[in-house]
Amino acid sequence: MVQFFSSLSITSTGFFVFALIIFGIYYLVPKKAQNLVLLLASYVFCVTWAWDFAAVLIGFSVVNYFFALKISAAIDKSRLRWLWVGIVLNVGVLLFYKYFDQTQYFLFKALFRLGLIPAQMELRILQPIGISFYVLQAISYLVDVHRRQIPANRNLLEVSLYLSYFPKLMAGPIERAQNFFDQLHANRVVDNQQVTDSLLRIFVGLCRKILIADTIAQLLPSGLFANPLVFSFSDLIFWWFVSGIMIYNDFAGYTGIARGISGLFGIQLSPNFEQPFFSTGFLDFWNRWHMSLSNWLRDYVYLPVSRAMLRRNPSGRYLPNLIIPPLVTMIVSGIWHGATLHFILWGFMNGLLQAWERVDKAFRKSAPPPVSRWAVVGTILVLLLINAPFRLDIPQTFAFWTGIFRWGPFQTFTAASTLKPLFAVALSFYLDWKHLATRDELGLLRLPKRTQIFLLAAGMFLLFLATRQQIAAPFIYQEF
Amino acid sequence: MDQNEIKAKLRQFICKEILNNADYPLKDDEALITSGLMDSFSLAQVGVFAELEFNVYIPDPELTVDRMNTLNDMAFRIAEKMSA
Repeated sequence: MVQFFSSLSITSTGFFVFALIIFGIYYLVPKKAQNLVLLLASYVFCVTWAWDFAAVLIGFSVVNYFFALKISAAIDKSRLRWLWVGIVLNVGVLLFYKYFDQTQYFLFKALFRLGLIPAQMELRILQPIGISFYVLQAISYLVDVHRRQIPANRNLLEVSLYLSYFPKLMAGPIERAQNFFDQLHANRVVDNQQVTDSLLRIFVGLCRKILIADTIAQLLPSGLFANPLVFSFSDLIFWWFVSGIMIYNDFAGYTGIARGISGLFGIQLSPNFEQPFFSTGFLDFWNRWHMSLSNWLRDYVYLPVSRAMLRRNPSGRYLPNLIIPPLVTMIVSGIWHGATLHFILWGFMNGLLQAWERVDKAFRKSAPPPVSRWAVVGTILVLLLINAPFRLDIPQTFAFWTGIFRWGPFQTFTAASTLKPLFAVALSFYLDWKHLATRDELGLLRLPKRTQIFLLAAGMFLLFLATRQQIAAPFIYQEF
Repeated sequence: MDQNEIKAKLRQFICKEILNNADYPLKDDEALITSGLMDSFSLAQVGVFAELEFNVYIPDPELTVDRMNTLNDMAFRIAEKMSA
């Protein structure tokens, strides 16, 4: 892959300069040309990572554009045939980029032994940025056209923009075609309120990413993930909890910035998080964490599997109806996240937890008890434990679980080692609590003016200090 | 079939099969999912019940909390599909 110049990370100064230039052009050109400006900007953004990535994206958009037209024009069984060919192609491209690196050694070895190639080969193929996300969008577009929920879009520019729109290209949110196309067709007017809301989303996103996630990333003890047994159990519990907050704020920060930037163009992207650390159960957690992915999995995996099973046996207490759909859904989620066994284990265990909750609910004789604070604490502790294979491979996961239950001397926590991470955790909970208490994503704007000014000034000052002292860590979800 | 008949059948099904309490006094406008009475995953059961009982198909993306949170919402969707 050929790289032209510095790749634009969404928190880099380069990205904000790029976005400013695009805003200038976007508001200077006639409205009819605005979608074209956004599409060209998206390809330029992609090219800053590698021109091949842009080539893949363009080819991918054209292919899906034609498949949607084919599905729409076909009748009877050939509609379904075109849909399946489209899905297999999309999944095939994703699997190729995600798995080729791990499997090429065995593939070329087999080809060499069969005499089909003269020598063992090794190819270096990088996974295009955002491919995991835009493949899901393409599949949902084809399925929706097949279900006749939306007509096939005859405008190649709009389909291409739907798949490649730069604020959401790297890591979503995973948008639905109907919602996106409606906004492309609308007369987009960005008023003062929308500008304020968007700037606040960007500001909070930067605080989440730089002040919380990057601060924690710098403080995590080296070797915590590589060799967990070296650490005391109290250290493991503390840092594991803190690293959970880090992953959340890393992704929520990215989403906030992406939604804020997009809002300035008059295109609203879907929310991805709703205070997941206040979840009251495992199903509730997945309705609050990476919501655009959860909703996608619900609509295109869980519901079709669940309905197909219920049609065979409509009983809500038939165990396979309760266990198989969440298990299948979460294993698919695991495979989507990564090509390794630990992600499958992660998906399997989360599926089991959901299945257990569903079975419990289905067979419960009495009304469920009112939700207590302990349910929130218990849910998060279990999930943090179960989610170990999300970050660790299988041997490290088992080492972590061994270490966490290995009673031993407490680590002496010092103010110096814990103050910064605790500040980061407190800030994360404050932002979530504010959202929860006001039931308003932009509740900070409803605070008294003086408080707003104080928080803005403090945030800016801390962001300035942090960007001078620490190196921005790459977004974790960008890897997927 | 009018919406009241649809609601009566739905009420009976939800109370007995999903809430496990046939005598539960479920109101027409009572929030089912946002109140925690049933989870959004149980909407698959409602979807299949609508297929078997009323012979209408509610697409998966319409089986959401904001569209199917109360008996009124569900009956409205089903009646809408029946008349389409």
